[in-house]
Amino acid sequence: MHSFGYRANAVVTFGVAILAVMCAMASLSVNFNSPSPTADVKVLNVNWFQKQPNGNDEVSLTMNISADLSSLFTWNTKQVFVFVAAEYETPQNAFNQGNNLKGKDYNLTLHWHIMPKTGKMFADKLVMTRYSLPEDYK
Amino acid sequence: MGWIADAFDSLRSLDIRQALTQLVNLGMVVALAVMAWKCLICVTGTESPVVVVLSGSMEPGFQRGDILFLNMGKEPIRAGEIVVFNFNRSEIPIVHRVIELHERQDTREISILTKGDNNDENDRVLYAKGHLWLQKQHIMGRAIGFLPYVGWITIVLTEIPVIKVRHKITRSISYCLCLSMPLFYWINDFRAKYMVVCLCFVISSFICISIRTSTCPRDYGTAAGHSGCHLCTRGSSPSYSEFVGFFSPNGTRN
Repeated sequence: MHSFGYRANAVVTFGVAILAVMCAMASLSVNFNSPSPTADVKVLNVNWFQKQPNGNDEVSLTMNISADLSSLFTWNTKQVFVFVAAEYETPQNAFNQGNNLKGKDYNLTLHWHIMPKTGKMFADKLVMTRYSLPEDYK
Repeated sequence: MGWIADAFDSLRSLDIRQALTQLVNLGMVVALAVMAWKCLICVTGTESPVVVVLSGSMEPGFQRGDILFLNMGKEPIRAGEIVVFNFNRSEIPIVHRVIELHERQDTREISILTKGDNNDENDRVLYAKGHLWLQKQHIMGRAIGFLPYVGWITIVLTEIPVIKVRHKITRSISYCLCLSMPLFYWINDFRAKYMVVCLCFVISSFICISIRTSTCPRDYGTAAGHSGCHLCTRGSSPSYSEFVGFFSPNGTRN
């Protein structure tokens, strides 16, 4: 009852049990956090708007993105993956793609994905509408 | 080696009926484990609800040795989600993020392009020959939950050359022994010891059935075989076809 084997086993089992409880508590405590992020994206310049050899259009934008995402970070957050996605419709495709995008309206959406230290992964977004591409290629 | 003789003595004094009862109990517990696993497959809608990250192409979010919980869900896949895909059943699945998505107006079919967070290029070299996009049938599931470091057990037991154990049953038994050893010492009652071993077998079968996922960082080799990638060991990818067999959950193909 007091050999090294017994003691080592007791310590390891207890340690693993405590770790499991802590992981569960960490992932559940995220629910108490109510995030309130703000974001604003301005398109400063359309750098180029060309037709590529494979038939698709290519656009290069310069954007000014200001966002306050500090309320998303909790003690269980390892990484917040943030990106801006452009969404648009064409008659052929309900969602994205196209090779005739002159004068197109599109939405810019700021997405963020929260990757936790343990537990459930959350994702949310902020949709900003009413941007449009120029009428001509340049 | 007196303990061997003692073990044999105790075996000989066991009643045959008692031994058979215990064997049947063990069989019932194993069947319960398989049933629970199938239910989990059905509930989550993916063929492998628990996967282990093998390489570092999603760092710093997912490190090697982390466990991911997958779910399929009914919502449409959108850009930014972390998906698990593979092209045919024998390949190791890959966990990467969707960076581009196109959906057709008429058929609602989607085309997906993925990229690992830590990679410089998108995954087109990894797709099967001639494919520029992924389709919905290639997606196995979306990552919804995460547990760090727990997957190292699987990696250690399948990749370290010294204790490399390829066969699933042997791995399962070895996990079971590792897990049950601590509790074995604590509990004095024989029946309780026995139940603990069964419980550990259940847990270990969960762990060893989990499909390992690979996210090849830089050295792609040939797209079909990942032969140049030293971190992917595709030889022993545990295809659970022997378990999934004739049981086909809704919405996923077998």
